Amino acid sequence: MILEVENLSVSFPTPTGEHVAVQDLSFTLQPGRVVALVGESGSGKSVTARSLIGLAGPRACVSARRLSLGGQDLRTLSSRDWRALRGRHIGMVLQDALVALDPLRPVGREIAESLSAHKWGTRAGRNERVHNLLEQVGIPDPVLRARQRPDELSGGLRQRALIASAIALSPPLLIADEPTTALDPSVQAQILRLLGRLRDNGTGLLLISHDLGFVARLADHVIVLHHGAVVEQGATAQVLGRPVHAYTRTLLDADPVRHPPRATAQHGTETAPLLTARDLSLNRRGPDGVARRILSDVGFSLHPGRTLGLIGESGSGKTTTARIVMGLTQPDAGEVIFMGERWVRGGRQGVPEGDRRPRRRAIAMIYQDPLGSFDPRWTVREILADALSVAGNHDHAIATLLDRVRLPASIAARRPASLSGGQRQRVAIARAVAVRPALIVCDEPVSALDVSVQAQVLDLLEELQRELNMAYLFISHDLGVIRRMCDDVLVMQSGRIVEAGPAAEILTAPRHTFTRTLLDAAQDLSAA
Amino acid sequence: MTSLSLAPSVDRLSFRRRLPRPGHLGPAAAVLFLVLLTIAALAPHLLIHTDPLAIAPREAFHAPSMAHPFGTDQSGRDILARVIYGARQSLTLGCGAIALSLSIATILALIGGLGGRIAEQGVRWLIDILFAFPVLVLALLCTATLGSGIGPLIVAIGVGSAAGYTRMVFGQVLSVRDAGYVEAARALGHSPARIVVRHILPNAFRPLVVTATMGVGQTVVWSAALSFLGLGAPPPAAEWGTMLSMGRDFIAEAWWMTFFPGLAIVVTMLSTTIAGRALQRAIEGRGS
Repeated sequence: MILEVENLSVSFPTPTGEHVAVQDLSFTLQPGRVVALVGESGSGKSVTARSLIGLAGPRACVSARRLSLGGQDLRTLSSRDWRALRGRHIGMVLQDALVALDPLRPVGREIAESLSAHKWGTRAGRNERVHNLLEQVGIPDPVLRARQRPDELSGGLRQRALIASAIALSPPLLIADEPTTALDPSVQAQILRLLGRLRDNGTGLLLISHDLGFVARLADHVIVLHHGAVVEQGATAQVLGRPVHAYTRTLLDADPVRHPPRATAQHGTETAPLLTARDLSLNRRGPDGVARRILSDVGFSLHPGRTLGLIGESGSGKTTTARIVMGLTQPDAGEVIFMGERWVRGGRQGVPEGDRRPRRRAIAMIYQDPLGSFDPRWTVREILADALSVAGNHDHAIATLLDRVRLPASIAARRPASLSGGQRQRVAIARAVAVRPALIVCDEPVSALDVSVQAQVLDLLEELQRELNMAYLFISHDLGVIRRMCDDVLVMQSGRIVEAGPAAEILTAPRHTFTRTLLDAAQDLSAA
Repeated sequence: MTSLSLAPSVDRLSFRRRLPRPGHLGPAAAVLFLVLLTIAALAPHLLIHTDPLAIAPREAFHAPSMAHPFGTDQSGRDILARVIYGARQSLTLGCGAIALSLSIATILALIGGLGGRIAEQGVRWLIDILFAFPVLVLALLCTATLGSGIGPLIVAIGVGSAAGYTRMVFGQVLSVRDAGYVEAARALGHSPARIVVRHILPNAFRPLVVTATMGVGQTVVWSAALSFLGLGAPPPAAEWGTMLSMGRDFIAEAWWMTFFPGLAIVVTMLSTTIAGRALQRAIEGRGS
C-alpha cells in the first residue's frame, strides 16, 4: 500500500491572518521504506502527521493536489471513513508516551481496545494477540506487563507499549512522532531496532524526529522542514552527508556530536575543591513499604571553574544526587563540604536550614523544565528582580542580565508561559547567574530543546563559565552534550558510581561494562 | 475569498462592536446589580427617601403602584424601601461570613500544609469534623450562646462554610508547596516567611477568587434562611429573610410581600454566580 502526498498544504486562520503551517509538501511512502521529516519545533512536522490521519483539527484548512493511500483518495473521506482507516491502515505512535496512555487502565486493555474498536477477533483471541504484540515489541514478561498501568512501567516500556498498540492491527503504514525523545540512549537503541524490524517486515514508516543521528540510522529518504516549507529533500546519505541548503547544514552542525570535545581546563585541580561529597546514601520506602536504596556511597569533588558530568540511565540517582548537593533533599548518611564549610550532613542531625540559607546564593540551579520553576504570576522582570535582590543588586541590572544571556530587553515585561523553550531556559540561566554563584547545578538543561537551540544554550553556558569562573554539575543523558561540556564524568548505575574520571578518558576508553553499554548504545544511534 | 465578499463582513463587524457582545450582557447586568447593591448597603438614602420603618396603617396591604412600586406590608411600610435597606444586612452578612471563612481556611491550610506531618493529619481531621456540622445547628448554637443579631450569624455561617474553603485552600497549598518555583525560591535562599507571602499564598488563592465571589451569593441565601427561621434580626427590621417570614402569613392576599424580598435574594445569588463565572473566564484567558 503506497501513500502518495503531493503539494500538501495546511493552514490555520488566526485573528491576524492565515498561518501557513505546512506548504507544498510532496513525498511517496512505499512498503518497507522509511521517510523522515526533520526540523525544529514549529516547523510543521507534527501538523503533517496529524493531517495524514485526518486529525488536523476542525480549524485546519488542509489542501493537496493528491493525497492517497493505496489508490484511495483521502481528501474526500468523512470522519467515519477516517475512523475505519486509522489503526487498520495507518498506525500512529504519539510523542509523549506518558500522556498518550490512559493512566487508569492496564496497558493490555489499552492495546486490546484498538483491536475491539475494529471488531478484531474474539475476547480471548484479542488477549492472546496483546501478549504476542508485547512480546513482539520486546517487552519481557508480557502477561504480567499487560496487567500493569502506565505508571508502573518505565519510559522505555511505555514507549514500546504505545508502539504495540499502534501496530496491533498490522497497519501497512506507521507514523512515529518523535518516538525516542526523552529516552535514555540504551532504550533509544532498543526502539531503533524495533522500528528497523518493522520496516524489514514491510511496514512503511513515516518518522518524525529532530534527532538526526536516529534519522540517519533508519530513514531512506529525508525531508527537511523549516517554518512549514521544504528546504531540502532526497536520499538520506545525500541530504545528511552532502547537504545543499544552509539550514540543513545548521541543523547538522548543531548536533553536539559534531562539536569538538571540550578542551579540558587544566587549571583548577591543583586548588582546593569547591565542593566535596562523601559517602552519600539515601533509602526511601516504596509504596509496598520495602525500603529501597536510592543512593549508596556516592562521593566526588568538584573544582572551581570546572564541569563535572553526571551520566546514567533514568532512575540511577542522578537527580537525587543533584538535589542533595542543592541542600533540598536530606541524605541518610554522608556529607557535603562546600567552600570549605559543611553544607549537608546526613542522618537525623543535618545542617539546620537557617545556617544554610545565607550561603544558598552560592549554588544556583537550572532545571529541565524551566517553566515549572517560575511563579506563573510573575513577569521575567519580577523573576529576575527577585533573584537580584538576593545578591543585593537592583532593577538597573535586569537589562544587563538579559543582554548577558542574549535576550532582548523587551522580554522583561512578558510572562515565561508566553516564551519559547529556548527563551525560557535563557531566563532560567539569567536567574541562576544573577546571584553570582560559584556553582550551578544543571539538571538536563537542554534535553527539552531543539538541536539548534540546544547548541546556542550550550554555547551560552560555556561562555558564562569562562567569564564568571563558575563550576557546573551537569546532568544529561545525552553523551554528545556531556562530551562537549564536561571536564570530568561520573557514571551512575542503580544509585552507585561505577566509573569516574576525566571525560576524554571515560568517553573513549571506558573500563566498566555498564559505561561500555551506554557508549555502545549511543554509538549505535549516531554512527551514520 | 475576494475583496468583494470581505467588505460587508467588515461593516457588520463595526456595527456589532457598538453593542456589548451577547456573551457580555449577562456579566454586565450582574456587575451593575452588584454595584447597586453595594450602594444600597452603604448609602441607601441615595436610592430612596422613604423610611423603611415608617408605619402608615391606612396604606396597609397596598398592591404595587406608582407610589409604592413594590407595594406595602401589613403596617403600610414601603416594601421597596425595606428591600433596599435590607441589602446592608444581607451584604454585611455575606461578605463578613466569607471573610471569616477564608481567614479560618487560610490559617488552617497554612498550618496543615507547612507544619509537618502531624499538623497535616490534624487539619485533615478538623476539616472532616467541620464538614459534619450542619450550618443550621451551628447557627442555633451561636444564637443560643451569643444572643441573636448579626454577629452570631456571621460566626455561624462563617464557621459553617469554612470546611469547604479549608479543603480547597489546603489542597492548593499542598500542590503549591511542592511546585518548582517554591523550590527555586528556597534554592535562592529566601526565608520561609517570604516564600509563603510571595509565592504560596497568592498562588493558593488564585483559583479561590472565583469561588469566593460565588460564595457571597451563597451566604446571602444562608443569612436569609436563618432570618426566616427567626435566628436573625427580629421582625420589624428591614431584612430580606425576616421580610419573607413576615409575608408568609399574608401570602394569599399580598403576594408582593414575599415576592420582592425573594426576588432580591434570587437576583443577588444569580449576579454573584454570573460575575464569578465571568471572572473565572477572564483569569483563565489571561493564564493561557
